Amino acid sequence: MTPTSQTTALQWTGAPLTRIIAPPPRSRLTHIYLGGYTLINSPQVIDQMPDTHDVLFRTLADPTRRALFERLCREGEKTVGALTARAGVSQPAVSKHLGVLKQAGLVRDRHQGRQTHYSAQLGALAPLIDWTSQMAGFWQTRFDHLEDLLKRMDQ
Amino acid sequence: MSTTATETRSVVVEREVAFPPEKIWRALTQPHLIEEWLMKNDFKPAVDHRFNLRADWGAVDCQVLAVEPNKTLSYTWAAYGLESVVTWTLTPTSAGTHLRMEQSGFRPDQQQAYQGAKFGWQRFFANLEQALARTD
Repeated sequence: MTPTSQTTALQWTGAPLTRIIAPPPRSRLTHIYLGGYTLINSPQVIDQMPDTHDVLFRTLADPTRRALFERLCREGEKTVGALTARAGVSQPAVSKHLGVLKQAGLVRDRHQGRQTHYSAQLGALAPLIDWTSQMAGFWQTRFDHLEDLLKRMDQ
Repeated sequence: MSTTATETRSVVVEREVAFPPEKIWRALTQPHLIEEWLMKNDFKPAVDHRFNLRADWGAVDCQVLAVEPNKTLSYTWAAYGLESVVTWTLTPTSAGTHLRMEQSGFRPDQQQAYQGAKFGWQRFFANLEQALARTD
C-alpha cells in the first residue's frame, strides 16, 4: 500500500507548534477546522509560515489579550473604555494589549470623535484554521480503517 | 498570508488497494460497513439522498451527488461551516483498485475558515494553551 497524499503538512515538523498542535489520532475529529496548521504544498507558503504563526501564537498566548479578542469576537465592536470595564486590568494595559492585537492583524481600530472603536478581524486566524491539513490527516486514518475492514470482509 | 487560504482548497488521498472495486464499493456504500471505517450514518446510494455522518463530536450533513456503481461516488460534506464535496473514484488495476478520495471546498477564500473560527476558536485556544504550555 502506498499512501500518496498530496498534502504534506507533516513535513514541516521542525517547528514545534506544528507538531504539537496536530491533535492525537483518537481525538482528531474534534479538531477539524478548529486547531491546526496550514497546509504547505507550495514553497512560498512554507517561507511565510513560521513568521505568521509565531506572531499569532505569541499574540494570543496572553490570557488577558486573548480575553479581549474573545470579547470582540463575541460582542462585536467595542471602545477601549467598554473593554476596560470588564477586563480586570487598567485602561493603559488594555490599550497596550489592543496595540499588540492590532499589530498581529487580529483587531482593527476606528476613530470616531474622541473614541477609538476596536473590532475583531477573524481573517487573521485563517492560517491557523486551514481545514485541508486537518482533513488530510482525518482521511488518512479513515483509509487505514477502510483497508482493515476490507481485509475482514467475507472472511 | 491570504494566499495560504486561497491556494490549498482540496484534499486528495490515493491508495492502491489489494481488493477489487466491487468489494470496496460495498464498504463505501453500505451503512453498516461505512460505520466500521468512517462514522455512523443513514447513507443510501441514491442521488439527492440526504444523510448524516454522526460521531460523538457532532454530525456531518451530506447529500449524494453522483453514484456510478463500482466507479464513482460523490456527496456533499458540510460540518462546522465547511461546505465541501467528497468524491470517491475507483479504478481497477492489475493488483486490485486505485482508490482516490478528493475533498474540495466551496468558497475557497474565506467563508468556511471564518465560520470555523467563529464556531470553534474557543476550543482551539484551549488546545493552543496546552500546546504552548508544552513548548518550553
